[in-house]
This record gives sequence, structure tokens and C-alpha cells, in this order.
Amino acid sequence: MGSVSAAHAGLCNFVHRAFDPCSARLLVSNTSSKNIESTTASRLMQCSSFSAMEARLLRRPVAKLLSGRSQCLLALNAASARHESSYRRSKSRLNVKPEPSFLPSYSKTPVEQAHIIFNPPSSAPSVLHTPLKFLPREDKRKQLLVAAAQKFLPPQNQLPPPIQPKQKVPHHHLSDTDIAEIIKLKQQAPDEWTNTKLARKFNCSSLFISICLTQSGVDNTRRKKEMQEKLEAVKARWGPRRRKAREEHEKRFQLALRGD
Amino acid sequence: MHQSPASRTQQSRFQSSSAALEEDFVFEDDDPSQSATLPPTPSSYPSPLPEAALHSAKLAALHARLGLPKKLPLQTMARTLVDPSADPNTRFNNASLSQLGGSIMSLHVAEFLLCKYPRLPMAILFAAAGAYSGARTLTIIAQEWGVDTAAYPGSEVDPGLLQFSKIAPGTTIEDSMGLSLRRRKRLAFYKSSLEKKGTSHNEAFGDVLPKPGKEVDPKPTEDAYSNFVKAVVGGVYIHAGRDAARKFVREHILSRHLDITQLFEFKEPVRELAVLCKREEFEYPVARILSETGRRSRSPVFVVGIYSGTEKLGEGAAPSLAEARIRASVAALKAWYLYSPGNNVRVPSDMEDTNAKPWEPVHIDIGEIIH
Repeated sequence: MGSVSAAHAGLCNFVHRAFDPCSARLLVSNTSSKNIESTTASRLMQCSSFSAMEARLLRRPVAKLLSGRSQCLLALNAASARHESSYRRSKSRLNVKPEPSFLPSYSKTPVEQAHIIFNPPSSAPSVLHTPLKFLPREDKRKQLLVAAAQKFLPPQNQLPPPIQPKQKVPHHHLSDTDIAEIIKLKQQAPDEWTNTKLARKFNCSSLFISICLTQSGVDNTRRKKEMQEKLEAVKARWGPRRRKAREEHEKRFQLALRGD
Repeated sequence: MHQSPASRTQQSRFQSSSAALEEDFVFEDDDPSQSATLPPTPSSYPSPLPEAALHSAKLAALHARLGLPKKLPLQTMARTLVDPSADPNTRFNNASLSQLGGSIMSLHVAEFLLCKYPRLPMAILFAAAGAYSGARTLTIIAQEWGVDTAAYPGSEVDPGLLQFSKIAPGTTIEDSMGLSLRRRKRLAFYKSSLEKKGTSHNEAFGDVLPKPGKEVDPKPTEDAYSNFVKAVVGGVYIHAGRDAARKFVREHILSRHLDITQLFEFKEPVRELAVLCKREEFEYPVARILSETGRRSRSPVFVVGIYSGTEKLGEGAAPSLAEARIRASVAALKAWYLYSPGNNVRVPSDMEDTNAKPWEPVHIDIGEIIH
């Protein structure tokens, strides 16, 4: 974009003002007869083949180059000028003719076709459509759907990315001495050795740590109470907006659990 | 209880006009000479006389509107509209008919639900059965049929009106629920077990009973309406037979739309799905991002799919990854529980048809997921 010459930009602007590709082509023939360089003419040809919107996109940075001031830019930009009605123009520009096969049968030029066009809006799939995996073995649809899937659907090699890459935590690798060490550390300094920290040290999940500690009778009610008080203190500092946002968040999750 | 002069004169009432024509009836606990000298005025009965049914335009219109079989006489139709609270005499109220009809209705509702959605969890099954044939739904049905309530029951009332005694204002709700002694005892039992265990279930639809001492709305109108609808089913069964009763239940109860997908609520859907996959020996469910837009913006949208192996089980869209994952898991669990063998699944009572095809066993699930 930055490499486009100033002359080119000015012509583009001119073409854009004409708005119609046909008239732009006429313009090209006129300008080429006025001995403009052939390279510029070829560029102009390319440019005129663009739609009017693209031409405007092309023009913008060049206009910046031309004028250091924003007022000048406004003067060059036809669409944003106050005296022109931009809404109607953009609306009429976006009024694209539909694909002929989508025209209804009662239109002036119906397209003869032997199939039904099924083009539903994108929406969540219905829960009443049981996935193939959930069909019981004796269901007749199972064999039919499996056969149809093998025939028509390509094998799915690439699956979408998972939400969170699964953290690889080794299982069954801690010995009794390790567990005794976990308990000892927790008993010595319960505030320092939190479950997360212990899990990181012993390369296991914090769930496993909590199971170890609850089974060995480590009392964590005091810490739980402290954490709860801390949370309450934080919540007490919330303003009305944050509180409302949190309540709405809670409501959304309740709705999600019902699938509404 | 409802004190009425009916006990004195009830033996002179008959269920059909043909019986009333017979002259040689027997008085069991009353002096015939006294009855003969004092002919009972019609207003002395707690509910309209059976022959009044033949002259009620409302009743005939209701019979015609419901498209009931001709075999069901208007006298029985009139009896279905008399609640036990209006007339305690079981020969003239709808207690027996509603008991019968309620059983038939719950049979058809239960077999329909169990055959159509064989994997429904118990709580959802109860809720769905309650939605089809619970007191509140039956009240709506009866009101849609155009049945009005009488202001006060009595023999002068049009037999086409629903007759029952409303709870007097100021009564404590706990003593007068309009329940039988047996039912009240059972309720007391459930209430005591509720106190012990924390939760309990009602016999019909698995409703959790309210804690004792907590005030509930009185529902005599609902009870009267629902007993009436049940009694109509019972009357159709008695007079027109099994097939007619089944047809009636299908047309009036099972034809109603129930969005069963809205009944679910999960506590830990992600975990429950993992347990399900383990139980059914599927691969561990993994949440994968199908598409996303506006991450780190004010209103992002993440579309997350739950995959077991290469197959997608459910999909959910939400403004956060955690919520989208929950939604996808809920969708997958609903898809599991709402498995249906088909729309026109056969139920066991279809075998009662003449020249019915041989029975194929329906799918029976091993049960809901316990985690």
C-alpha cells in the first residue's frame, strides 16, 4: 500500500468518485489517450477492476501521505463528507443480487432445479438428535448411520484443539515415605506448605495432596476459616457494579446447568 | 365432615332412571311409612338427582363436545361431576370412578413415557408424568373442556356444573386437605421420613413434600377438577371399554405438547458425563474449541464441543470457556437421556388390538448415571 505513487492515488480517487466500474473504464480510455505512462495506466486498469469499496480502502493511506492534516483527509474522503447521504449509498452498494439458485420459484427468473435448498441459520444442534455413539446396539438406526458415515463422511484425522492442554501429572509414583514427607511438611508449616505448593514439589495433583492430608487427619479447618474470612473481606470491598456482575455471572451458570 | 340430610333419604335415589321406575325397592335403615308420608323434596339431597341429568343442556353439550361414546350415559356423566366433598355417599359421587380413571390414565402416561424415552432419570420421569396427568394439568384440561364450578353444591344445581365444597376461609390447611384417612396417614409417614432423611417423595409424581409447618396453598378446586377428569376416563372405561378409554387418554392427555428438554437441571454435568463415558466404555470426553470470536473483548463467544474419541457428543456456545464447556456437557447428557427409539414407538397396550403384530421388546436402560 505504501509503495503506491501519489499520481496513482489521485487517479484512484478520481475513479472512486465516478463510483461505477463501467464509467471508470471509460475514464481509463480517456486518460490513456492523454499520454499517461503505460505503467500507471496498467495499474489503473487493475484499480478499476476493484469494486468501489476496495478503491476507497486503497486510497486511505495515500490520502494520509498527501495531507498532514486530518481536515484535508476529510475533504478528500467522499463518503464522510457531511453533505452526502452515506447511509443510502452504502445501503444501495450492499444491495447485492442473490445467487440465482436461491431465488424463490415465484421470482421472475426461477432456476429449474431438482433438489431442495436447505440453508438453515446457524444454531446449536438439537439435543433430540442422539449422537451415533449414544445409540444402543439393538437400534436399527445404528448400523444404517455407521454405514452412511463410512460412505459419505471423510475420516476425521484432525480434531479441533482442546480447551486446556491436559497437564501431564504422573500417577502412582509416590511412595509411602513421600506421603509421610507431605504430611510432615504440612504439619510443620501449614501456612507455608499449601496444597498447590506441595503438589508442585512432589509432581502430583493437588487433589492427591488433599486426599493424603484428609486421610491422615491433618486439621485444616483453621486455614479454611481464614481463607473464607479473607474472601468475605474481599467481597465486602466490591462495589455495586462488580457485585451485580458477579450475581449475573452466577445466574448465567445456573442457566447453563439447565441448558437454557 | 359435611352433614346433610342425605343419610335419611339416600335410599330413595337411584343411579339410573330405569331403576327409579321399579317400585319394589328395599329400605334398609329407614321406616318406609315415614318416607311414604314425607316425600323428600328435591332440595334435601346434597347433589342433583340422576334423572336431572337428562334435562341438563350443559351436560349434553359437554358430552357432545368431548365426543364421548354414546354408550356413556348422561347419568354417569353427571356423577363424574360430583366430588366426594359435595356428596359423601360413594354411590353418588365420583370417588370410585376417579380412582379407576386415575389408574388407567397413569398406566397410559407411564407406558408412553417409558417406551418413548427409555433413559429418563427418575426425577424427570415423575416430573413429566406430573406434567401430563398432574392435578394442575387436569384442571387446565377440564377448564378447556368448558366445565364450570357450582357456587355451592346441592340438588337444585345444574348437573353440568362441577360440585364440590370449597375450604371455608380461616380453616387450618393441615387438617382439611380433602384427603382420605389412609392418604393422610401415608402423608404423615412421608413427612416423618422427610424429617429423618431430608427429602422424600410423594407416591404419584415424586414431588418433594413441603416441610411440616410450612404453609401451602389450598388446592381443593384443582383436586375437584382433576378428580372429575379422572372420573370421565373411568366412566369411559366402564361403559365403552378398554380401547375407548385408551383412545380418550391419547386424545386428551398424551396429545398435549410437553417440552421435555426443559425439565433437566444438572449439578455437575462435566463429571456426570465423564462417569457416563466410563460406564459405557467410551473414550474420556474432551472439550474442544470449535470456533471462537472476540477473545479478550467485552463480549466473546466460544463454541465448544465435547468429543469422545473422534465423535462429537454435544455442543455449547457461551461467553466463557468454562460456561461453554458446561453447556456442551449438558447438551451431551440431555442427548443421552432423551434417546428415543422413534416417534411412533409401540407401547404394551397396543398389543390389546385385534390382529396386532407380535411384540418386539422395547429398549430398557440400565439406569441413570450415579456419580
